[in-house]
Amino acid sequence: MPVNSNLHQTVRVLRDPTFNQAKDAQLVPVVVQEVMDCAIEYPVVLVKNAHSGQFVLVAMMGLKSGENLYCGEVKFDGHYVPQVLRHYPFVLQATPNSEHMLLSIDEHSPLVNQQEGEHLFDSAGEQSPFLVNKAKALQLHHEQQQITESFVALLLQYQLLSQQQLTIQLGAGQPTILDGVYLVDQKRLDELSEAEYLALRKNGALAIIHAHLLSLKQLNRLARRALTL
Amino acid sequence: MSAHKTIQHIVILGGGTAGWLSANHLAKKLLVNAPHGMRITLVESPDIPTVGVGEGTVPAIRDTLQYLGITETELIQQCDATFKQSIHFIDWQPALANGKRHSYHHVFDYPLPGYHDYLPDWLVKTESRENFADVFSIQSRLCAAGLAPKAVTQPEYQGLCNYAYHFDAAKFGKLLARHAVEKLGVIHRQLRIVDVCMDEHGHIAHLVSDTGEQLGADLFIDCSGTPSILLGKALNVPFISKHDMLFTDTAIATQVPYADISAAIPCSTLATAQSAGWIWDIGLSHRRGVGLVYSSAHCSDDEAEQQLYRYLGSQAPQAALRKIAMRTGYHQSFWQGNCVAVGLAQGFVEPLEATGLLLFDIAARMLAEQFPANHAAMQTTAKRYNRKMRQAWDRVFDFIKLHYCLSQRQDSDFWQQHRRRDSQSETLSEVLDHWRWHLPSQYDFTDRAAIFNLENYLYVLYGMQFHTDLSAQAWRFDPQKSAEVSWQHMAHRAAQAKQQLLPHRQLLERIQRFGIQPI
Repeated sequence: MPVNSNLHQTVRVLRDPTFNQAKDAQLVPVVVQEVMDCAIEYPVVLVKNAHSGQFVLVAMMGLKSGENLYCGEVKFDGHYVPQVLRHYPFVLQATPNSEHMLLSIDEHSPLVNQQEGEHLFDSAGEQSPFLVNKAKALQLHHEQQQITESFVALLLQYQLLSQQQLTIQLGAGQPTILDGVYLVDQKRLDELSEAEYLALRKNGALAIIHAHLLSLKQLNRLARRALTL
Repeated sequence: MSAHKTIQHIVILGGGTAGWLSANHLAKKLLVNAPHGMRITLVESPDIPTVGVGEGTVPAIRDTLQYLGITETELIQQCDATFKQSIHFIDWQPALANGKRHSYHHVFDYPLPGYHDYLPDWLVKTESRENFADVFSIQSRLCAAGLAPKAVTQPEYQGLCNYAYHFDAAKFGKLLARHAVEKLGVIHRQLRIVDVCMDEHGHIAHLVSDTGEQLGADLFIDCSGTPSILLGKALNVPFISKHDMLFTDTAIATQVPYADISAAIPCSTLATAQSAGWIWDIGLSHRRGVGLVYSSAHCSDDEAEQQLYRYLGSQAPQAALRKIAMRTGYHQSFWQGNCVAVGLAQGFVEPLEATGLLLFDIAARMLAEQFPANHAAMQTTAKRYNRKMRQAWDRVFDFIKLHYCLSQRQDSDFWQQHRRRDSQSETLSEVLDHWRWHLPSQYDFTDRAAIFNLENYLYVLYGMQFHTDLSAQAWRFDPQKSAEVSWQHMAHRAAQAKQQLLPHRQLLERIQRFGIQPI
């Protein structure tokens, strides 16, 4: 529902340090600007969106569907919280027949109420600083998402992606197998021509690619968490 | 001219599907964009409309498009394309004893490996033998459920099942033209060709335009369609009619809107038999293409129109009926001297199994891949090309004839005459005799040029309830391998596949919006 001073005059939004809305999210979408921060904690990989078939860059927070090993009862147990979690319950929504994006709120979120938390509007109906900041942050995030799409397009153009199966050994039992994960193929990266390699370096993609490759080692961290939690 | 002179310039006459498909294949293989690459010019007259029917394809088209570098996303988004998983034949046999109309699918998936172990039981036991495709593949079930052949997350040109497309032929021609010109370096000229000049060896020297321009080349590709301006007219290569085998000679075609924009789109070509021919019904993303192919000797034009309107029912067409004369047959040779015909300039066969575009494609690709090294090699290359292409055509004629001659329809002379042996080729009569008592096998399909192979024949033969009598040999077959087991297995696999697939229209809408990923 688009945020509106008439409809949402009295609406307040709680801050939730547990980011409980993500408790069943194994994969959390991230933008390229977040890859470095994520890479020191979570595997960052590409998967395909089941609705659109398009590639999405995600931080992996669980080893199976429906599992998030970082969302706890009292706090989110990671150092870096991806933007999509922090922006909740706000999203930018595309409008039909227009370039404009509308700031919208998930009215069914348990964080949205009339009693406590941040006001969206002051008594005069003006946007609160909280709402203004949210709108700015979401606009920036939207731009970053577009850069992320170009990054994925670049990976595809250079044919750097390949679908891979991740095998994770949990204790002594049967290994867990993760399907439908797309990674940068190191061999293909090595085979790039000088010119192609230079192009990737110049537009900043190379650093992201290396962070992504390094982040795969965090699968061990996830496995350890899965065993201890 | 020196015999060892290389071939440097090709002129293609005609800008229809065959012309642009040839341009793409030749430019791709002969590296027009490379420093020493061939020069290819396609010349078309600005005022000759293309035929513009032929909206169905077979799965080989996927291989061609991918090879040429055209993406599946472009095809779906620019040509109103839809997926095609089968041809659904309706009424090709009389109604069944229970009053139900006869119908069967020629699906594109090969039967499951090992199917021939289960086939004898199906032939011996199944009384009605109505459901060959259901027993040996999952695809007829997917078609019936209105599902697309690929999942939304599957890459370009890949699917859970084998598939082809329906598309708007005119838009497909434009896509091919853009690709040839912009990506592959083909030169496009709009000129009215009014004359063809020959040299002293009986080869084509150059084409002459109405402005007096002379267009010379080492090799000329005749894609001028049915008029066959170079091969047929300038070079006088005779036409061999196949009317005595396939009697249809006329088509009436139209376009029909969908009742509403969310109407389900069939994932099959519907081919419904009539008293003297059959009706095609092809669902594109924005409209249907519907038409009747008939024999004018067995059906008047009025009667034909009535049949088509009866088929359409309350669905009024959005375009006037267009009548097209058809001449079934081919030229005695396709390559003569320095001229090769591709497309309708080679020959014509009714579109029953969507062979039109397939034959264009085979002809163009074979030409590009078997391209002569120099002028001296041209004669041998031509001889080989003519032989292989003739075989391909003959096998297509046989396969189309198969659909008719297996029918037991009694409602007109048209169907009666199709059953007469003297209307069949020797090759077809011979295999049909053999299959009365023996299972069709790979040994019956040793010809490399054959476009339709064992699996295609199985779907049509047994879809048409052809009877192979194995009763005397029943003791040879493993009783464990029952048709029932195969049926259960296919039902189970189809149920699994259904969970991954979207309704056909829904997948098309997603692709319109998001495209398809290359991997």
